[in-house]
Amino acid sequence: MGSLLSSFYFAQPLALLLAPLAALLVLAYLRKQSGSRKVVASVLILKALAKHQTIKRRFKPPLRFFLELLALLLLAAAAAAPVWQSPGDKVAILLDSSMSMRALAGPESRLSVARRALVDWLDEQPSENHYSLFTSAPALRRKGDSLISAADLRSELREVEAELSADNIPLALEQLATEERFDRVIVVTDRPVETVRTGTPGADSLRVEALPLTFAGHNLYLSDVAIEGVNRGERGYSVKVTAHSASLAPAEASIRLFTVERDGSKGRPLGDARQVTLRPGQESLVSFVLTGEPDAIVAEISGEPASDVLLEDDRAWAAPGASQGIRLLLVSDELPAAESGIPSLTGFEVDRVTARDFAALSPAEVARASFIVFHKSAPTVPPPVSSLLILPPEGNTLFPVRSVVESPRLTSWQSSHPLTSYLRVPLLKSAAAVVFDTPEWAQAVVNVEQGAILVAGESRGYRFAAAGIELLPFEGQKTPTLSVLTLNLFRWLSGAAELQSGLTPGSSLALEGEKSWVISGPDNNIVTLESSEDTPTSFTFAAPGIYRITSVSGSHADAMRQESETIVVNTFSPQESALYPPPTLTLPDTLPTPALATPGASVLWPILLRVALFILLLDILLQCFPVRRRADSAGGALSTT
Amino acid sequence: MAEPLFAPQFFRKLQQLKIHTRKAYLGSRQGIHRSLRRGHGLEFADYRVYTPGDDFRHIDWGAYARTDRLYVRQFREEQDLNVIVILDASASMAYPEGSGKFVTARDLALALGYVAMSDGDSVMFSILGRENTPRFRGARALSRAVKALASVEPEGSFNFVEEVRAALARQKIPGRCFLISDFMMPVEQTIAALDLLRGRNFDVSIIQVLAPEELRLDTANTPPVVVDAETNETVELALSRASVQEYAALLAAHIAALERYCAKSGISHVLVSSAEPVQDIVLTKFPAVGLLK
Repeated sequence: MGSLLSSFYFAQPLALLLAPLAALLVLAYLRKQSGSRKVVASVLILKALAKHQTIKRRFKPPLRFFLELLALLLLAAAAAAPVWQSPGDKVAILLDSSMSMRALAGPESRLSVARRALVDWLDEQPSENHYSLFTSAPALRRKGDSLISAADLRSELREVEAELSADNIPLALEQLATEERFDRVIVVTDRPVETVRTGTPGADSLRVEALPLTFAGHNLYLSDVAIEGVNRGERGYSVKVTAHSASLAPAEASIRLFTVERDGSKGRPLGDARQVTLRPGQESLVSFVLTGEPDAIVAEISGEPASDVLLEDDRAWAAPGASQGIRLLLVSDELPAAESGIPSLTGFEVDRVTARDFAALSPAEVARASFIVFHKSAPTVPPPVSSLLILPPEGNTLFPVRSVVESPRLTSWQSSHPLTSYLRVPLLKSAAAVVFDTPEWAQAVVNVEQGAILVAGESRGYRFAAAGIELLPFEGQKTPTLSVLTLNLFRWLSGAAELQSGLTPGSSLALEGEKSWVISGPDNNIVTLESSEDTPTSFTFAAPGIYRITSVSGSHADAMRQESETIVVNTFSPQESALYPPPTLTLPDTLPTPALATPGASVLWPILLRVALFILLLDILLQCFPVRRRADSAGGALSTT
Repeated sequence: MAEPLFAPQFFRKLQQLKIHTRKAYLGSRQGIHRSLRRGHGLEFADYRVYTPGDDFRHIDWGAYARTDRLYVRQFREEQDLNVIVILDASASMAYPEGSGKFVTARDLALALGYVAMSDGDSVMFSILGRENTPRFRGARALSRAVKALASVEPEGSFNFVEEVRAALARQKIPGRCFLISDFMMPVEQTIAALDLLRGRNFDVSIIQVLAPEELRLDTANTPPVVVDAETNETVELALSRASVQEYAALLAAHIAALERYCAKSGISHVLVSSAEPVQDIVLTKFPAVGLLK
């Protein structure tokens, strides 16, 4: 009982001083009662009755008094903001559910080992703690209800499966810290965690701890497969496979190609297997020369079990005609392509030119790019390709610069714009920013006090955006917020083309326009979808393999248009496949959290307020329709002669 | 009154009733009631010795055969009845508010008046605290009677005995008297007023009209302080469940005292509730207790 009471408190205790107003209510009714009098025909009988009574001033309030008293006390309690604070810590469990957790650790998967370790850890925790379980791949997602008991958490853990995609644990942590309020977060991952002291302890910070797990294991994996020379005709075509060994020593591996059946399953072998020796830390390119007409293929690597604990990355698919990647043209005088970080993004081919060289490019050469990134430069005329301007100079005509501000303070942003998808805008921090004058054809997406620092719009059929903060080099997890913004920009600029050859399981493809879609995927799964201008839809690639997407638009037979394309989804993820040496995960020991209501606290005032209002409604009804006893028509005194 | 006072069927039934009186009175006109005057009516009253000039058709030959002496029969003259309806219109008749006590009393007065008028009797309404109405005769006079009573509102307080005395002051001829009130006053006052009426040889009936709230104490709707409508006297109460029974006993004792005096004095006493329909009272209760026949 003591702990029960200690968990209850009033957030605004001074409001309890309203409770003595109940005494005023008593006085009001006493006054009303004593002043209440009634005129009767004659006091003849009543006077005789009164003689037999001892007149005592008793407080006999009607039912309405009790209703009003209860309502008053409930309102005072509600104003005092009672809070039920369940005891114990509020703990978030962030469980790595990325592809690497499928790797074997002995007879079981790393996820199973992690699950068992987590259960053992739970047994050592106080029983008053409450937990929320989150998984990290492909994005932060809660599993089950919020703030559950350890027993419920154990049940939820059994349902967790490792995905076939990569995750971003630092970004997931930032999201946790800003969305919900916990006392601690326990990170459970197969990667070695280095905790960095951030020096921000306090009530408004989230403590970050990692469950110590150690895994060993080597891995063989494919990181790319490409079909080349498809136009050689009878001379055949070649398939280039990029393979790796995440191991301590060179590993022997066998790489073989297979056809892909109509149902997406592995077909017959194509040619002979190739034996390769893979050196740790080096990628090996293996070429196959095939004859005949090129078609979809799947490459497979195999080796000693001890050298390959993760099998999900041992296959890679390719198909002729599938997009070879997003061709990005980087216009920068000072940033080489290799240092831009963009080549680390799967599916991107980066060509870099200086501003002077760009000016010399022909329109046809410019048009070959999927989109252009102008880094600290700007075109003199809007190019015929979607473009991104990062920190453009003053005087550019596409996005006029208003000013440059130091320590910009974010004021507003469009939360529904594609550029702010999954983006924690408040975490966008920069020492300085360029502020733009928003053109009429564009929208201000992110604003600071002085104006817009992220502007985007469409002009003449192309998309243009300007970023007033530095986005390059692309550092991925090191700067998760900026990375998300950069990827959003790239995705938006590339339009419907999306990242067609850089797709991994968990990726989604936007389906837009007035069209009917038929998507056939691996294991002969066929999905039909409808999209419209007002309600676009999307399709998520759940498994790796070859997807054939057919869209039909138009309503009349003679106006119908059918388009088909092939999309390849692979489990390419160096972060997940390079198990040895395992990439270290650097996490802060605390993360600042916004001032939110204390988690796990049940705020009770809404309930009290509703009950009080209901009681007042009853009081009003009683006033309008008072309960009266029916008087007898002829009482016992009636007699006739 | 905006609506017809009584339904046509009630009027027809009232026409079939007659004011019942236990005494014979001298009327002013020929009516249907026995009078003290001996004359040419239909009812044999007495014999007297024949004197020259008497109508020989009235000689009782049987008496002559028995006595060898000539006697003539004497008959009672049937004459009209002098009816007075005294209606209490003091403030107490207006309470409890909305109980309709005075309306019931007034309607009973009019019903009795109509019975008398339709029988050829004359009726005068005496409103205590106000002027007496003129005498009304004949059924067609009802509308004038209604008009006379329509504007009366119960108000004010007065000495009950003195007002009854004043009402009788202009009454030369006794007759039938109906006194309608709640009689929620000391019994002695009522007795004093009834004595006045008996002293003037009226055949008196009292009709006590009480509201249901007066017949049975409603503790829920009775506040701790009550005020007398006429005297403004205040009484503090501490009501309980037992108070209902105590009140009933006290009221019964008060009514019983009144009934004892009435029984001893040959006065009819009728207790009615304002919740009872006037038609039921007049057509059922009054004949049952002998006020009407």
